[in-house]
Amino acid sequence: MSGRSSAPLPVRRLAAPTFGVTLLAGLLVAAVGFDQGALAAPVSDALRDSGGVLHELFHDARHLLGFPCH
Amino acid sequence: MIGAYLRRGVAVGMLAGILAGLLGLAVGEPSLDEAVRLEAATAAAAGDEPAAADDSDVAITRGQQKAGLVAGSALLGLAAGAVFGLVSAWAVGRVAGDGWTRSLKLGATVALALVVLPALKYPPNPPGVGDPATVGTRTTLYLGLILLGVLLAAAAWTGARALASGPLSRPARQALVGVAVVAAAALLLAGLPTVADPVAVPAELLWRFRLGALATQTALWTFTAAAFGLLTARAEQHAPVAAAR
Repeated sequence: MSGRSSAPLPVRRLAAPTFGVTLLAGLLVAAVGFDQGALAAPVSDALRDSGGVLHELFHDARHLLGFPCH
Repeated sequence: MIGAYLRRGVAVGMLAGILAGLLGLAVGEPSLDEAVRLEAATAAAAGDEPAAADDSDVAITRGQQKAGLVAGSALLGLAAGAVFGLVSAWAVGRVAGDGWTRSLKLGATVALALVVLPALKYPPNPPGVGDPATVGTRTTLYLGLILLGVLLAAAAWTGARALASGPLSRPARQALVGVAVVAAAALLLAGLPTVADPVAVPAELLWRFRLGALATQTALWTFTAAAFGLLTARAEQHAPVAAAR
């Protein structure tokens, strides 16, 4: 019954990890699921204007993981 | 303890993503390939340039897109696992049961909110379905429904907690919360706008694609929840005190 006897973590101690995880997960989900070139903008304008190499690379992943895609 | 939960979540999630991606190659790619061929044939017949379905002139081959399926689900699994680990750390002492039970409860909740609920209203579609002009609206609706599903789960947990101190028996409380959740989900599904984009692929292909997509997503969350639960239960058995810190 070890799990049941554990005291809950104070929400305050979860704040910083929550921020970090949200940032990381948001970036990854955006890259895999939604990017249309915006994330490529820091690399080059041409790459961004092309519609996004990420969009093409993750095309099959988007479809099979349920994201709306073109 | 948060660190251990996050590391466990990231490792388990990435592995789950790779496995889901490999499963997707086996059960999803055959119908996806077929849909891509159909899409190209339709575009060619309409006199469009072959790349009309692509909104990009970056050369990515079908082979690279299949590798991208595994890489993409690995990255998504990593992100999902990190969130799973974080919520699991929160759930200690707040959700009843040992590490294994908590992990399965969380996994089932996530599968309902992130896979089943959106699939009932905005199901996954193969290439060639969906008007590119409406992708923004469809994305907003899809994400909105997922957000509402997560809020619904949180509301159910809060409601169950509030009822626990009342006079109702456990079966009566759980039935009450269950009925409320199903009713709220039904209202959401009926009330949200329908996507009326034409479906230009054969029904049989569409069905096979959707089954493949559901299998891929279910594999991701099932493996994450089960492996995370096993590892957490083992850690709790070996160091019950440390697990509480």
